[in-house]
Amino acid sequence: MPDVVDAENDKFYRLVGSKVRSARIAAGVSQTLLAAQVGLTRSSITNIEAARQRVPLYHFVLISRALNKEISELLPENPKPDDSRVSPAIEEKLADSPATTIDFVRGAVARLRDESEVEKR
Amino acid sequence: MGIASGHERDRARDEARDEARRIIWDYKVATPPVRIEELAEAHGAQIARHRFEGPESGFALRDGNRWIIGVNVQTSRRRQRFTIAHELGHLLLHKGRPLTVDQAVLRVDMRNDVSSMATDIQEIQANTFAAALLMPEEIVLDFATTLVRRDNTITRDDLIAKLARTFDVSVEAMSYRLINLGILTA
Repeated sequence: MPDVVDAENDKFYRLVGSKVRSARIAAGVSQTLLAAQVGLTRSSITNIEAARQRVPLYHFVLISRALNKEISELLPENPKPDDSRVSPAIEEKLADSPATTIDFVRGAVARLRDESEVEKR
Repeated sequence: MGIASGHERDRARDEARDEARRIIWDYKVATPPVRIEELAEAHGAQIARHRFEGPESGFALRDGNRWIIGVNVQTSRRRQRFTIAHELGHLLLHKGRPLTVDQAVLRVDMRNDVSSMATDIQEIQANTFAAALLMPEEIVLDFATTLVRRDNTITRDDLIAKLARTFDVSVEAMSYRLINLGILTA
C-alpha cells in the first residue's frame, strides 16, 4: 500500500482511538472494565485508544454499546464533502477569463462531480 | 518594468525550494518516481483530469477550504505529473490567489506590463517547486553518480533519458534539472 494512503488510514484510526478514549473517560469507565465488557484484554483497549492496534469492527460495535454511544459518534467526520460546485466568487473570477479557460475549468470540475457520483453508487 | 530583479527571483526560487524540501522531508520521499498525486491528495487537493483541446495545461483552484488541481490530460503522462506538481506549488506558495490557470505556452505578448511581474515570479516559483519535488537534488545526484560510475562512457543523452525514466519526468524537464544542479553543462 502506498505510504500516503496508509497515512490517511492511520489518521482514521487515531481519530477513532481518541474518540473511544474520550467517550470512555466521559462515561467513567476504566480500561479494565471496558475490556471485560467487550471480551478484550486491557492492553488491547490501550492499543486501540493509542491507534497502535486497529479495532476490529465487531469489537468496535461492542465498545460503542458498552459506552452507550452511537457508532457514528465514535467515527471521524466524513473527510471529503462531495460538493463539486464552484462558489460564486470563483465563477465571478472566471467570468473575466478567456472562453477556453472557462470551458477548461468548468469541464474539469464537472468531471470531479461525475467521479464522486460514481463512487457513491 | 515588467522584469523582476535577479535578487527577487533568487529569493523566490529559494522559497519554492524550501517548500519542496519540507515535503520531501515530511513524507520521507526517498525513492523515485515521486508519487506526486498522493502528495497532492495528502495536502487535501482533489485532482480533476480533463481532456481539453486548448492551450491550458492545468489550473490551481482554491475555493474556500477546497483545493482542486486541474490537469489537461491531452499531454503526455510525464508532463501531467509536472503540471500536478506545478499546481500544488501554486496552492502551497500563493495563498492569496483563488485561481491560477496555466498555459502550455506562455503568451509572451501579454507579459510586458506591471501586473505580469508578480505572475512571472509566481510561475518561476511553481516551476522551481515542481522540479525540486519531482527531482529531489540529493536523489538525482545519487542516481546520476551511480549511472556514471557504472558506465563512464555514458552519453549525455543517455544519462538524461535514463534519469527521466527513473524519475518519470519529461526528458526536457530532466535536462533542465541536470543543468541547474550543475551535473551537465548548458
